[in-house]
Amino acid sequence: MSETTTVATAPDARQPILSIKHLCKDFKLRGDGLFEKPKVLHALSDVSLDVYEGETLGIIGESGCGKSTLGRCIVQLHRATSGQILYNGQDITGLTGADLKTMRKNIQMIFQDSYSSLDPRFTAARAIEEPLRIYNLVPDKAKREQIVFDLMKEVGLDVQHVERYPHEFSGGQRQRINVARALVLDPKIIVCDEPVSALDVSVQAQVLNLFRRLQRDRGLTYVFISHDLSVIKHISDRIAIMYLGRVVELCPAHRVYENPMHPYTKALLSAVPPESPFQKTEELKLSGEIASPVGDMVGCPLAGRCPFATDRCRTERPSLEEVEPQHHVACFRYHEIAQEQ
Amino acid sequence: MAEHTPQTRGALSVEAQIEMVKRERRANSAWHKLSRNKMAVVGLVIVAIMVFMAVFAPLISPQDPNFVDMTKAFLPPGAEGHVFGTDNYGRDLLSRIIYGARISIFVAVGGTVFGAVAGVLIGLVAGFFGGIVDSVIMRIADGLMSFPFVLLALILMTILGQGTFNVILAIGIGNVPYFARLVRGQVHIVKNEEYCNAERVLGASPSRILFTHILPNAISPIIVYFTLNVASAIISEAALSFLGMGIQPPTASWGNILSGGRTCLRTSPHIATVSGIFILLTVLGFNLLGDGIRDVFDPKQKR
Repeated sequence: MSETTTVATAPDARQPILSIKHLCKDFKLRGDGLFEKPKVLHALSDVSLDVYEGETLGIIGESGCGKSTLGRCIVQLHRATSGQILYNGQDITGLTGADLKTMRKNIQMIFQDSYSSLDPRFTAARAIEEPLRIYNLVPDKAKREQIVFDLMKEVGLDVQHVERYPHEFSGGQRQRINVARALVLDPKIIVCDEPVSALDVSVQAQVLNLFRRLQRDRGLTYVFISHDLSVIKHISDRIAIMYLGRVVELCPAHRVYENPMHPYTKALLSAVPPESPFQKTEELKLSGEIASPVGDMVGCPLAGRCPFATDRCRTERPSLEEVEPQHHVACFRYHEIAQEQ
Repeated sequence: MAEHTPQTRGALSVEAQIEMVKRERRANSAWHKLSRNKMAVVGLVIVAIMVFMAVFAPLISPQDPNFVDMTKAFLPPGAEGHVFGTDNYGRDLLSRIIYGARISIFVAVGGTVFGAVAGVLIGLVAGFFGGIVDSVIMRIADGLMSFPFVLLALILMTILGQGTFNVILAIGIGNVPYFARLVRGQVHIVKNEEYCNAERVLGASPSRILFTHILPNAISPIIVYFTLNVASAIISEAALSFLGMGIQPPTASWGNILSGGRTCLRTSPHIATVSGIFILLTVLGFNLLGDGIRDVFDPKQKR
């Protein structure tokens, strides 16, 4: 736990707390016709990531790139089609019953929609104590109440609001209730699925700072999913960039801005408006629309839109390689692209 | 509402905060919410009077409901000490109404409760587990629903034989598919809500999700349908009695008093009118009460 402060510098020296190995998740789509074969949507293809204790791994990508599916696979809301998710070395993808329940204590999730992730009939106190009731951890009512009060204070909620219903809170307050509920079980990892994207900007900052404070105080590990570059930049130690169900680049957070290597990452950064009109920006525009994840795909997922694509890109799939220390890229031509510009 | 950080938390004293929480807790209590709804209180009073009448029938009825005096047949209301008059056999109508409340309310509520409990459980299972279980259950329900309700109850009565309990059973079974279908639809809406996923991530078992989250959030239309159904069950019992398959004379029920009064509607309209009014009042009472209970279950209704 003492190492948790020196996160981005040398995480590889430690054992990962969560290790995702060759994770694939397919969804079957029913065909339109009566006798049509069901189509397969590849939401995740061969995703491998390590998450180290005490760090924040940011996952970023546009809509439909599989980042939420990844989060839901980690917390076992979706069953992986193939591949493994190791928590402290133990594969959790096949767990059922009591084993799964015990494991769930360690990995919690915070959802995007703070309102719909709270039962409208549960008061704040009832929502926060629900996990304790599920596991029957604290049978004593007064003690349970004390735990709820302490947690509400910790996440910055007014204790006098314990008896209020979700609709009586603001978005930021509701997200704090969600955070408190996730924290009751004292988890090691929290998967945050776009937890601030539904909040307005000033509240976003407050909630992000809450996340940071909790990480510092409790040594939490976050898998932080977002489509917002500035949010990811603010909170992450390392960033994984996803495109069409694959991780295309993985590197320490600051490296994404200093030296993006994958053409998709470059394009993503070019899309951020410059802070000043005189700022010179490297422009990389992608043509066309994001490809469909339905059906089998050959070659690099970006090949159809990438200005640097060659025949090799269209026929062969680049795997994620460590090209610099801590910096992984899935592109055949990253080196030539860097020289061209 | 403004955001609160721990530093800027209100300047209220601890006592004031505790008082505020207590007040809110009281305001959220079911009884308190119901008592603030005037129409619900009216409904509750009507239902309470009817139930009181049914329970204490022997104590409050002025006469034996089955005492026949042919010399006093068809007396109008108020005549010779008969508040509601007498029927075609000269039996005191008030006494028959009071005793009839026993049968009618018992049969209507009993039948609806049976149908609701069975239907809700079946609907929950079908909606929650989906797939083949859902298909099989719903096709059976569709099959049952393809019979008109009274015909179905008639068939069941023929199979089960006569008797008060069998009337309850017949009305109950006839109601099951309607409740099941209603509940299944609601479960389908609620089960995909994010809080059910959140609960799953927290480690809750399917039965916990089903009974502590899905059922309470699906209950509003069930309550409304339940109260409307008590009303139609009273009518169904009347229909069955009218067809000779329900409560057998001389036992009084509002249904058979009403159908008995139908034959002499021109000469002595009071028989059908009085029993009809009691059915109407009871139905109204249950509807108002049901509306009130539904509001109690809605956290957004506070004052």
